[in-house]
Amino acid sequence: MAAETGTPTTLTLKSNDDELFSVAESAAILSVTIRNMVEDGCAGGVIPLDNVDGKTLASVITYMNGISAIPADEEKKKSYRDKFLSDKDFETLADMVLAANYLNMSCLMDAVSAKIAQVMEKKSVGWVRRKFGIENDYTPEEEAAVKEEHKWTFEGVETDDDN
Amino acid sequence: MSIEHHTSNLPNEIIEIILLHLPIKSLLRFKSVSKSWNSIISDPVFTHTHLQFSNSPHLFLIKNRSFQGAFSLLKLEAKKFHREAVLSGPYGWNTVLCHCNGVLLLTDSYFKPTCYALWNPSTRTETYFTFRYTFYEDMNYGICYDPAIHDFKVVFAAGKNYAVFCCKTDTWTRRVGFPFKGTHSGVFADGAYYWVWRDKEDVRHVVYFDSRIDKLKRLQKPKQLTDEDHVSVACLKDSLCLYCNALGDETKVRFWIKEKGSSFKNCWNDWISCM
Repeated sequence: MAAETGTPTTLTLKSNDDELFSVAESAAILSVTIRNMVEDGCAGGVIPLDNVDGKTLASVITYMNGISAIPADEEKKKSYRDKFLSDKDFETLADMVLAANYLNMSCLMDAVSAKIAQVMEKKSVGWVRRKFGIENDYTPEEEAAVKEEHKWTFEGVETDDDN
Repeated sequence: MSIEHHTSNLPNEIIEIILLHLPIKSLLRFKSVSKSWNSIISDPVFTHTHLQFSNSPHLFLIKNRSFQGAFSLLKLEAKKFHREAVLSGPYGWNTVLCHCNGVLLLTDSYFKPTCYALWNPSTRTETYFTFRYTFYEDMNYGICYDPAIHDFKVVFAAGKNYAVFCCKTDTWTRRVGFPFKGTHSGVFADGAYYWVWRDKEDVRHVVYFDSRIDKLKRLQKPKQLTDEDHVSVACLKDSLCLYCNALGDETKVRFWIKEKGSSFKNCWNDWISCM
């Protein structure tokens, strides 16, 4: 671990499409995956993150820097997270949840999964299938039966605009 | 649209984490997405985790005064109540006998009821059953979620008799317990249902239903309580709480919080006195 005083240690992270990013160790270790690498002494050169692409990693690093600049104030951290995620579309959120899971960042994981749920809440079944890339494996009869059983839950569903 | 921009397929464990954040209405709708989503959402362990999940909003059910047999479902969000829906109980029944984990035991009439329904207002589902014994004394009710079977058990107790209805197996068990008198409402807390019952000598006992063995048992009272103390039960942050006014002075209250967990011996460590 880096010492508390002296020059801040900088880490170099590499995305799976070979983009390199510099980030302060103090911010990067919000990721337990990266922290473990640092503690095991494997962070000397470049840290390869094989499951994250450059676009997503750039976004995650923005978050790391932003959130670690906020002092221990849960309210402020929460409003930073809300603002950070407010303009992200579904595809970006899906990439981020995978990255947060891989990097083992529980606060980001929580915030992104809650945000995805918020986006999904009033969406149709068809929207969910398209966005999550899920194949409908029900027969028409089975699907009608499941829908009939929970008929009331189809009231107030938004019409699909695919946003 | 013919070509979709497919997102990278999220693994089931991440889908499950996302689904935990959704309200029940959306979850029930998304059972139609696919068989695999249906099985995630229907899994009793998922259901239980969803119930415990701290992010879910608090729901309140109150009797609606404008319509006979109707309830208002209120949601508490950002320190404000919002009316989610006005619901009618099964058959318009509105006598609530007891509740546990948001599931209510309802009946047709308060006097001499025979037909009962377990109603979950969040999922709008209900189960009906009929009481099959004849108990002459006043009836006491309890309902308990049994994690071992992922379902509810309903307790009917009168005098020294009691019967347990298991919803999972649709079966009854009848037993003889210890004699007590009167009707007393109870409370579900930390995995068990509790009542305070009076015996023939008017001594108050804390009684609980142990769903693991389907039996009623007595819980040892805190040592500071005497037989004369008028003790009551409540649920505080999912812990059992006993409270008791000082005799003749209702401004003085003592509280005891039961230690969490299934141990029923020496479980009264903390107590608070408000004088």
